[in-house]
Amino acid sequence: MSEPSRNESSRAAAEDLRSWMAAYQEGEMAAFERLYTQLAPKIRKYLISLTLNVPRAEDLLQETFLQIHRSRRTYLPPRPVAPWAFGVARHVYLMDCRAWARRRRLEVEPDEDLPDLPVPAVGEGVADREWVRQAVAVLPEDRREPLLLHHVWGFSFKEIAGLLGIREGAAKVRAHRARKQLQDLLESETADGAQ
Amino acid sequence: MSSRIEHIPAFESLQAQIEGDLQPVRPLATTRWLVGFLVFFVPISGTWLWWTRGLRGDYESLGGTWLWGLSAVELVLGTLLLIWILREAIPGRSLSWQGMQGMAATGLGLHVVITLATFAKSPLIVPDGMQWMYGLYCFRFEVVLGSLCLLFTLWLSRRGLTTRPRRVGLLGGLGAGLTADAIWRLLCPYSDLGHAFGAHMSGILTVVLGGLAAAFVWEGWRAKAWRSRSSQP
Repeated sequence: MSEPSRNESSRAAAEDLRSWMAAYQEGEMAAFERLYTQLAPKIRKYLISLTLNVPRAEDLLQETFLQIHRSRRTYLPPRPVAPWAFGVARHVYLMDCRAWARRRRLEVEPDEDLPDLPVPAVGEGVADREWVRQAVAVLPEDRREPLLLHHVWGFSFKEIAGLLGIREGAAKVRAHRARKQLQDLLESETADGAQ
Repeated sequence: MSSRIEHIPAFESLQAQIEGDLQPVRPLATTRWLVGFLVFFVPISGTWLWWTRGLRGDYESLGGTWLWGLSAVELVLGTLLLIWILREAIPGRSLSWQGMQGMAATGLGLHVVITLATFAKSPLIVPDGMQWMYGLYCFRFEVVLGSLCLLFTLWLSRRGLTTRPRRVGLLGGLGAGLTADAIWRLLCPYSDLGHAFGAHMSGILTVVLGGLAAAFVWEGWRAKAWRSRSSQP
């Protein structure tokens, strides 16, 4: 798909989300189902990228939609819906971390359900998707999150700054460093492969 | 139902819970509520204090700009801090820690400048032997006025979805303290620095600490509610 038509379709998708969210705030169940269909797969992947644990991410997905329901009045039209919904998911994740911090030892399990990331040009020849997923899982959380939010889910750096509670410049720097780190990992893999 | 939904686990139980509780809601208007509160709170409390205690005795030597103008500047900054921190209650609109530090430094810095400017224009010293009594008097009123503003802000913030209550407590406390000081400085004539910093500024800082303490209690309740709701170990 060409760049302008991709932009148009993402604008149309964002507009659909807005109108469904408005209908949901008015009490329409069908609108919630449409929102769920659109948002749940993305939020699930986002939660997996945060937790690196599929069962925990699925529990949190359920809790995120309950929280979306309880907090639906905090969506302020006509703002975009996706940053708000991801913000709720992040809140749920952080609440879960805080509530259980003293009891639970976090288990890190990089798995096959991490979102796909566009492979940097340098690695196209060698890296398959599986390897990129593994490399993304290795990135520190504070870098992985802006990278995925920008390159996978298409959020602007301003939206990422609002989601993470950091400055726009800091979001850019973190995403850039993550991309660089990923590129270095792929380059070292290329070198190892050549030897 | 779409086939994509069926692939997401436990949609039916989620759907049942939501269907049972689906009421129309209005989007949260926290800023409008806060401004509405301040539009009533500031003139009513100011007029009541003026009526019962009178305007500060040195208002003629101080002049309109130093009296009303500086209070207005402090009030605007306090209100902006309160409005700004309410963004934390909206998911996806969190503030950066550096931005918050900048606003806090601006607020405290402005209070110091206003204190020094007032002292330079009308240096009125608290009579000997009365420092503690007048100090406690001003401190008490600043804390009471500030706490009312702070409680309203925390209540508004709690209606939203605040991820970091401590930040709301800190910056909300500062905004509420500055708002209270903007009203109280219209009535207290003593501008000597010991009184201004010992009673007025410590009143503001006490409201900040109160905000922080309230945020800790709020976080504790929330974590407890979360643990009791969650099925995880």
